[in-house]
Amino acid sequence: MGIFGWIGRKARAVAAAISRGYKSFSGQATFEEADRMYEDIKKRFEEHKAFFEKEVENISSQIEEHVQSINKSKETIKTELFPAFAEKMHILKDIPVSESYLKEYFNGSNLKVDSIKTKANLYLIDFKKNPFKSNALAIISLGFYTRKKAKETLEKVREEKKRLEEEMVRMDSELTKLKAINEALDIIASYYTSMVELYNALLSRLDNSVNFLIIKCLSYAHKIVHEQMSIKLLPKTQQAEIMAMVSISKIMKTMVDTKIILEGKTDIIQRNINSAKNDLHIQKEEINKLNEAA
Amino acid sequence: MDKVKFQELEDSIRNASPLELASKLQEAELYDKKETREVIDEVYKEFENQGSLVDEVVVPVFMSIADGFLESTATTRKLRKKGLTASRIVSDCQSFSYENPGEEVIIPNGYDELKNARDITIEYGESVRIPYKNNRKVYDDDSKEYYKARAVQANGGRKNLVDEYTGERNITAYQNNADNRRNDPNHRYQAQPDHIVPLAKVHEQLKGNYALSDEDIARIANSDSNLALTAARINQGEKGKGGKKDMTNKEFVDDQNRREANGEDNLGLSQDTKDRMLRKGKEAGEAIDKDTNQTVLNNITGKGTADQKLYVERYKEQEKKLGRSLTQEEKKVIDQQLAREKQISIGKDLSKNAAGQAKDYMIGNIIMYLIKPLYYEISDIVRNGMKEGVGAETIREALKIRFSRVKDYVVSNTVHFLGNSVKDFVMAFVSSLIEGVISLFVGIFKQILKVVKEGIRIFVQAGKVLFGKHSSEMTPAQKGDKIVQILGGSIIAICGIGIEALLNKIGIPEPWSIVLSTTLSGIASALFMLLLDKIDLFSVKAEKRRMRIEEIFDERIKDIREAENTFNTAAIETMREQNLQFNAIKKNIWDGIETNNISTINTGLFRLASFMHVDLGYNNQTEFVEKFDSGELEIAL
Repeated sequence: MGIFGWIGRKARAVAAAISRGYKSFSGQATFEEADRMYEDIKKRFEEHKAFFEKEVENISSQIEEHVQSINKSKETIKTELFPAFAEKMHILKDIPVSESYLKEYFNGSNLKVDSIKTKANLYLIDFKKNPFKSNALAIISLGFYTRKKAKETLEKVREEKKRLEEEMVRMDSELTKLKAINEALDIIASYYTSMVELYNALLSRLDNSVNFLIIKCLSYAHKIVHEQMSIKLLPKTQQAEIMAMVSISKIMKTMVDTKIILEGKTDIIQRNINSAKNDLHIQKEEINKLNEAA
Repeated sequence: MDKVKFQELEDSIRNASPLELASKLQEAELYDKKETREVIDEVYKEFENQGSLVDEVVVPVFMSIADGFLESTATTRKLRKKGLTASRIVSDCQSFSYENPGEEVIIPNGYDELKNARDITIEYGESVRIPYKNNRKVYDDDSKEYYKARAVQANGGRKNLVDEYTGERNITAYQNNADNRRNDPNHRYQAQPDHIVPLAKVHEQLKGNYALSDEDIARIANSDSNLALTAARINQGEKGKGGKKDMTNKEFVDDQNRREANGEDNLGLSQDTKDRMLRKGKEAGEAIDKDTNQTVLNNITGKGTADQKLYVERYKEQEKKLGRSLTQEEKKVIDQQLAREKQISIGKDLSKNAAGQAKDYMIGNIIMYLIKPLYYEISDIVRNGMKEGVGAETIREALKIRFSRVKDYVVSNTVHFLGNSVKDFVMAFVSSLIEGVISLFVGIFKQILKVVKEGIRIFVQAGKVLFGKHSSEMTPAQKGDKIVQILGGSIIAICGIGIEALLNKIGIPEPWSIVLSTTLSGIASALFMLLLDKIDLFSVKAEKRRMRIEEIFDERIKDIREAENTFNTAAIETMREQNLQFNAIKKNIWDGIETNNISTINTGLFRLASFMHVDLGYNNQTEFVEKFDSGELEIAL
């Protein structure tokens, strides 16, 4: 290489220095900084947005599962447990069971994530897209015009960067919110499941008390009409059994009626009352038979 | 978001029933619903609406006119001497707020400083200096006769001498040796030594210069460079044809030209004569400036010449004391001593004047310090109402609040203000002292000194911008913009001096030339600042706008993070507590079921109802039985 190599190196260094000097003079260096910043923030924002959307989808599907579980519990309570309880209690009291209940659906996050502004919106000069025009303007204006425009472009990109930072923070907070909702619904769903189990257990205990009352009434030759049936006639324990059942029913009635999620779709579902009525009719006939036998 | 909002958010989560919790979490607002683009748009609008045409053009122009008119009377000029111009009062008052009172700028612009220093010399000239009128002899010494005698001697035996104005050898030295070849019965061709720049003019120019004694002025005015031998017909003039008399050469030539143009009688001067006179006038003026500057420099450095009256007296005193004549060496020592005394006297005058000026600036500063909060209150009353502006119920209460605000501001800032005032006084003293020294010089040298001083001022102010205590708060672009403002402002202020000189030259007398130049330089300054603002050479506006946007978003991001944190903590803790509570109740009920203990079951259910925020309608078994049997208990599922 020798002397030619040395000359080559020096020539390249001089050329690089001239290029740097010109870029500073024309504002191209500032523009390039703005452009790099734009590309960087665009990449970062889009990755963040993609992650957010994926996370929203995941969490939303989990939330939907919990909502479905709650809906299922509500349906069980409305279509099975409450009618069964009403049927058992009909001798004592007519307990109306409404024919509808709330079925909820979760429709995901309602955060509208904005997009990044386009280069056309932010760039007041573009050395990449219009190199000839930009350099001509730089030379004509002795760099004053193009430096100013490049600086303003950089400021606009910085503004956009800050704006997108808030958008990203909004996404983060939305995810935190969704995660908390998901967790809360998970727990609430477990409340419903637990309550259904408890209700079933208490419902089976109720039979004894009601039957005990019927027999007691018959022994007094009362006609079995609930207007004349008084639970005062029952021993304290049976009274307590009925109270327990009424209490849990009232709690669960609130649970069924409560709108668990604020946003999303809510359907009022008509339960299949006919089948329930049919069940009631069969049970009534059995009781009459028992009555006649007594 | 304020603390109350965070507390409300936390309370709504912590107080939610287990069934409401999810909806309460959904309900929580962790970020402002306003779109981020809207935030940016609002800031852009805010910046676009900043500075109306009235604020940026009408007010400064009007204030510049007011400043100009304040120059028209001696009373209002006293305000300027205190640094109180209409522009400054309005600008400082308008930019004042209790949060951001702004910095006091004690030293006015270069033009005002020059006018203040000039006022001192004018006052000295009027009240201390021996007036020219009726005292011509004080300033007219024998030098011109020596000048003529030397010229006659140098002329040898020739009868006619050369007229220094016409260039012709046609003037005779004495009446008794006239050139009889010419018919000159009235001796109009007799040689007379003329003060090229008339004595009256030299006196007028130098009377305020307290670094020059009367003898110094006489010496300068009667120096050879200001004398010319000319014919009596030119010097004294001819009846109806005009004469030089107390005119400058230029005035005289202009007068002759006017006469010629109007067809009036005139001296019939050739163009060569006129040109020569103008040239000589110019040269004499320059020589006077040079002599003056040299004399001032000698006097203030202790190398000056004592007045004859003084040194003669001192010689005599000393000779009397010694009982013999003084040697040349002894006389020289006395001369040097007198020169030093002269120097000390000038120094004292300079210091006294500078201290007086600095004191005036301080008084102006104190007035501004007190006026600004008062103006703020008055403008707030006009803008927002007496009571409404401070949220008071009665006028009395409003007055009390407003007065307290002014008092608190004045009291709490007094120590700081006084501390700064000492520093400001020193700065003002130094600046006035230098301005005072500059005011003693004349001509181009004075202008050079003034430019150097302004250069140093710009340099110091730029240094403050670059390295001062607030420099770290400024971006490079803001610093650049500020320096351009300082540079432009100073240059325009200096231009005021040029405008004034120009106006004087075209015949506009004082004080109107000062009124106009003050107005014009003020308007130029306002327009220059407006131009700078519009051009925004360093894109400072864009930078400030971006910084404002960043500031807003930083605040919003901080709020979101804080809200998120509050939300998350409250949600997690509430869920954990509720879950634990539910599981305990559930266990309690199951225990009752498993042990067939209905009492435990009911206790658990009462707890469960309370946990779920459900009102059962009864609190115990007796109440339940009674309500059940009476039909009072509603059970609808």
